[in-house]
Amino acid sequence: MKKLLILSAIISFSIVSFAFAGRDMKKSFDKVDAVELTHESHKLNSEEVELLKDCTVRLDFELEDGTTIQGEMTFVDVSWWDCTKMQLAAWWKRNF
Amino acid sequence: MKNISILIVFFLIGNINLLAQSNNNKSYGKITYERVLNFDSNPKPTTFNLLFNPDFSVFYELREEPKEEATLKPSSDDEFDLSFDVKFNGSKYIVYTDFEKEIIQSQVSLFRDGKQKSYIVEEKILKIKWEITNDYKMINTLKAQKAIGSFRGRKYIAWFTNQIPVKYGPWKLNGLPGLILNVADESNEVMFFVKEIKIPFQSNSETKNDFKFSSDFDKISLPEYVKLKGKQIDEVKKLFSSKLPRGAKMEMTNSKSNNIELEFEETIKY
Repeated sequence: MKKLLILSAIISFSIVSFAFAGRDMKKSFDKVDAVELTHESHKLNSEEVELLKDCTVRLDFELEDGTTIQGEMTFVDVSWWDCTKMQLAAWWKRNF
Repeated sequence: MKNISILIVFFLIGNINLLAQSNNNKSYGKITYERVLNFDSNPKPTTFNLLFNPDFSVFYELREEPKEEATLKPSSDDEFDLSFDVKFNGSKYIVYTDFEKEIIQSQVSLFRDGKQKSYIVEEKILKIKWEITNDYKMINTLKAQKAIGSFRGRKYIAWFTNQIPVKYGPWKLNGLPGLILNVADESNEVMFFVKEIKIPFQSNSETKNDFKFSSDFDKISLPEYVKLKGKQIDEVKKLFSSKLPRGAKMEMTNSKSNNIELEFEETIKY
């Protein structure tokens, strides 16, 4: 009987311990899920910022002999930042 | 015999001195013109000086630092719309006409391999066949006579004055019996107006620096220049292509150029 009592105490302790361990494990899985979800939403946000568009650049420049040249170029699938960089590129002075 | 030799030596020395004096005292004239280019109903005035003596004339731009304007204005949600007004800022436009050698040299800049590059363009003087009419009018205090002549695809109506009997005029327009005061093409896209006349004019070293060609510039012929000018849009395309991110494509949707010289001699083509 004493042996049976000790055995049942060990089994109970094991079940309780396992249950707590499972709960902890579940907790950590929840954490991972949350992290992944945050990462997903971050990815979505970045995609929204990096949305690619067409960028039309109109140039009007004058040569010293009086010739004027007008041109229009469309850059397909560029980001706002790339479009702005091209604007900067058009400032000849900064490029020379 | 000895006396004759001494006389000849004195005669030669005297003549050399006279020649030197005449070179030093060559009278200059300075005319200030306003050039108005009126392409697409957008008149752009620029001031030039014409400095001349019996051997040459030089037509050079008087300009301040160029202004650069750039604007970024999104026109819709699906498109980025940018406009640039770009002006070259290197050398200034100079047209030197040598009437002895019958050549014209012009200092110009072009866009090449992603950079601004300046050249000296050499061409032969093209003599304009002017038709002098009997129409007269007064321009300020000067009596001006009308003449009509064609030059590189444009028909020009010039008003010259016999009161200043020199063959000069603005830019590459010359060859009349008097100074050209005003000249405009039939479509009023290219116009030159006299603003100031200084004859005689004392040229000094400061004046000469205003129209001095740079020795670093490459000399090219007019056909070469015309060919390079025709490729300007492609050169700009090259610059932008180098700034594009990987995978981005570029399309040339539209291009147009307005030129003072519309046609060239048979051997030269745009």
